[in-house]
Amino acid sequence: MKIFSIAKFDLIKMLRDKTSFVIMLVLPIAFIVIFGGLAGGSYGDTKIPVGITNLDKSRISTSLLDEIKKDNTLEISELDKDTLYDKVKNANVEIGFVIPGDFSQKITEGKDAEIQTIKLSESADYSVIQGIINNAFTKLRLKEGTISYLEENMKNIPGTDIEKIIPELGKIIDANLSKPELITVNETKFADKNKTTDYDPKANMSISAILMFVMYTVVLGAGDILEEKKVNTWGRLSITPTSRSTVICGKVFGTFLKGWVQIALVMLFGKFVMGVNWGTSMLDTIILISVYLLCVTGLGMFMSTLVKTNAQLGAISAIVITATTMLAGCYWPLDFEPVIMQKIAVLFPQYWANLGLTNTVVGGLGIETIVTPVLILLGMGVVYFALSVLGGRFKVEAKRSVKKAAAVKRGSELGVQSSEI
Amino acid sequence: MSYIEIKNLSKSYGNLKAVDDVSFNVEKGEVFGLLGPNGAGKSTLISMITTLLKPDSGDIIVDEYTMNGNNSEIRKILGLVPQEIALYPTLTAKENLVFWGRMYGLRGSLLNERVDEALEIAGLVDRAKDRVDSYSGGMKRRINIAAALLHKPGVLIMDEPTVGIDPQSRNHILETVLKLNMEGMTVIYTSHYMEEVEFLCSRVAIVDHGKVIALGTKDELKKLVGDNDTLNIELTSTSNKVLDKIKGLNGVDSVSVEEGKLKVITPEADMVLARIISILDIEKSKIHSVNIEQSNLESVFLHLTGRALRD
Repeated sequence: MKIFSIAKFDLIKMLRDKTSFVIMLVLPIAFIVIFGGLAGGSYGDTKIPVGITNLDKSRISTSLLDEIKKDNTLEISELDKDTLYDKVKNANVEIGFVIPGDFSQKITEGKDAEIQTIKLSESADYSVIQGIINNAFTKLRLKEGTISYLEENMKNIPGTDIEKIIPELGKIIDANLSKPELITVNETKFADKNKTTDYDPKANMSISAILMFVMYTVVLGAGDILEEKKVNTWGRLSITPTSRSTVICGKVFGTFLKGWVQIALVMLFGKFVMGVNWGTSMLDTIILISVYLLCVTGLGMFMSTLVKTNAQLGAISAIVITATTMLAGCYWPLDFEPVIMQKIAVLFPQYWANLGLTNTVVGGLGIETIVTPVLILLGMGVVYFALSVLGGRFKVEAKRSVKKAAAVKRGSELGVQSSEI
Repeated sequence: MSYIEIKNLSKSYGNLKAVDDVSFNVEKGEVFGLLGPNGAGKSTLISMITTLLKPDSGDIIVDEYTMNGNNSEIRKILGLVPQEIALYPTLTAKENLVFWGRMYGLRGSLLNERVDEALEIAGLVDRAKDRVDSYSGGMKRRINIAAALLHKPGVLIMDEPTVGIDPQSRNHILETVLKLNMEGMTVIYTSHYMEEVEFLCSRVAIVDHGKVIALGTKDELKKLVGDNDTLNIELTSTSNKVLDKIKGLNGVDSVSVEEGKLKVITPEADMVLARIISILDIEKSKIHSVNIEQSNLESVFLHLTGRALRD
């Protein structure tokens, strides 16, 4: 109960600070409006070039290609295998796909039909393209499954014109699958591992805005303890029967709630005002964002042990958060960065959160694609929390040996001494 | 057995002994004063009694609970009014009180009842829904005290609770302390304002440089000064020469300067005053006012340390 009380009053305090609250919402929204708008324009005009080699040439693989071509985000070129390799090597196409010769046979037999992917390096667009292919493939499997079932069961019914019915049925299925509502039905029946969604370039910028600005909120919120020391309430809390661990848990939970309030409001604004598509799997998004919030709360607590005042924390946060968000590939594709920077990027929570959110929101890939980011973010969070505990102890020792005498002389020790017991 | 026992308590910061082998007892139901100048070690002592700070050595026993093994139990008994305002400025007075009540484990109707009582004591029922940052200094002090009363502590520890406030709020606070004490609450009151300690406390420990230099009832302490009076002489200007001449007079026990006023302790006020006037006349130092006080805790401190309390 005390944990909830601490969190609740922290949330009230945040809502009371109207200026900060407005900035907390206005900045990310402005970011989405400006950069999301720009990104939306550029993606709208320029399609992602994708090369496909169809070695199967069957009705099924052709049907798959037709489905993929329907997506306006991709510019599909059908190429022979050698040309495809050359084009990928020369970066004339973003990614190449090879549909193997036994593709339709495997589909018919219900086996896993693999499509070979050829790419130069990790691409920011890869998850988008993968999402579109999966989507097309899912629809194809539904269509083929339905048609083959009907063919099997209707061929012995006298007076039935199979040749006429099947193409008509194919058209009806195509028409209905183009409706977004049917994507869910599609997933549950045939391809629950391949959840898909339409690509929305605004979502990319929205993700970046959320990851960066919520990090500010959470890191500065985690520094709330510094503010408590400033207004002397930390010392007062320390002499109540409420244990230190309860207070810390309350603070962490409060920071977590503050982060979620910001994210929820920005997401709602993005969805209803900007038309951002947050994907079809809110559960994946919620899990990932929650873990990210915990992780950056730990980071904030650790950073607050390195400084003495909220002003110092604010200054350090501005540098650390902006720089690491850039390095983590939230502003631009990681390919734009030198290789060494790409390797360093994996050290930052934004990289993993961005990867997971891009997979689930933009790419529409399944929950399995956020498992690694979630686990790594959890691990990072544990490390940050551990460091904040160690950092806090180190700080207390340093204070004991250096600064206490001065505090005594000032005759005003409550705030300084509060961290000792 | 006393309600609070402080035994040989010491605390150092590097080479500085903030509290040096301090011992005293506080009896249940009394108002015990800790009097000393800024930096004497009062706040360090209070921080140790309230479990905020670990002593280097010595024992603290509160209502038979020994510190370190029973800090949680001790915290339930104690209510601290810290020297600084320790409230959330953006929360209302009521919200602050609800929060602090919950931190002491109060809930539901009992919490609401205690919050209402505390607001009543603070005299701020009408302003309960206003944010604390809209309050005057005195009102903040009163809520600061109210927050320490929510759990009905056995001992109320007040660390310089009247610093920087208007006389009206100061009187309200002093009257509140007396009222709480009459209802049975034990109070430890620290201040460098001699008048407050003299007004409130039955027994007083005078603290200087981390040590208790005198301990007893007010009358017992005043006896330390004997029948001395204090001459308060306000001058246009003072000089070391004047001070040295006055110090050299027969019958002068001690001399100090506080806020431009000469404080002279002497058993023969009338005779010494005539001689001082003569010196001031020779040194062409003009007198604004002269006042003769009978011995008080201020003169006790001056007598014991050679310094005024607010030096």
